[in-house]
Amino acid sequence: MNSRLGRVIYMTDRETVESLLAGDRRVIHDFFCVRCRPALTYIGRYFCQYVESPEDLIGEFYEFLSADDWHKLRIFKYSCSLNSYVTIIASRYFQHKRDRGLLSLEENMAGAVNVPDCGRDVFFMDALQKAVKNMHPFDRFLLQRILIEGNKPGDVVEEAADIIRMDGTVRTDAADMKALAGYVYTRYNRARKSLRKSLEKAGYGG
Amino acid sequence: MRNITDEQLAAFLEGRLPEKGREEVMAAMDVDTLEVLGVSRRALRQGQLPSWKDADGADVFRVVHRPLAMAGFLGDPDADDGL
Repeated sequence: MNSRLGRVIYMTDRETVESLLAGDRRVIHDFFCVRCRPALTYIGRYFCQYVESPEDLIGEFYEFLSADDWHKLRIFKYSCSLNSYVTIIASRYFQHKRDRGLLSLEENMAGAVNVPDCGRDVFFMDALQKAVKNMHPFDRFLLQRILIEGNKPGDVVEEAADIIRMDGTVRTDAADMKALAGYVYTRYNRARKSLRKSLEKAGYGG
Repeated sequence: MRNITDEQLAAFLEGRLPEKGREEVMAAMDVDTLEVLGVSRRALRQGQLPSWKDADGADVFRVVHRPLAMAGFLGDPDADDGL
């Protein structure tokens, strides 16, 4: 259904996709700058520590989604909502972008922790739990709050500061909260890479 | 290992996959996919607005939410609400 009251239109997901594919400028603007803006801003800030403005993130994602004549939307089969579909695409896009930028952190810095090779009969989440158990408590905290719960690294800095104060085994030269935010971001990515390596070693992913 | 498509993962996030599909996603799960699910779940909450039912009677609805609702941003986007 598509009814018009002045400039205001109610659109189904299918109609929205069709309008995007047809290059409807007003729908393109509303879709990216209103509908997707909060989610894109969150995702951008989660994956990119020094985030560009929301407009930059939106512009970049628009370029990506519209590439190859909107290929990602052309293959959409409507088995889920358009919101969730686009959110997953955006998360994967910015995750990939972050990982490209983190290449310098690679191999040497992220050592794998030991995790028993449990075979394919053990589910991923069990293996994950075992691997995380062997990690430093501060890394466990970061993985729980950021990787599992989806909080932005910047949102856990104050909590991290409390833990560092109480723990005493976490060494950081961070002199203020901004520097600590950088430390949290870097340490989280190192812990994530280490976890990934461990799970790959145990036969999950890779 | 079989890759999970964007749409399959989005349907998984919404709990709309049949059991077989859920099993396939879990079998292909890795750290990157887990992270994508976590951040996407949070990101989707950022843009959540009241449903038509909740928002219709509120004063703020007329000013703030109605234009968005009319643009299809509230509630089930595929529902026929009689407009």
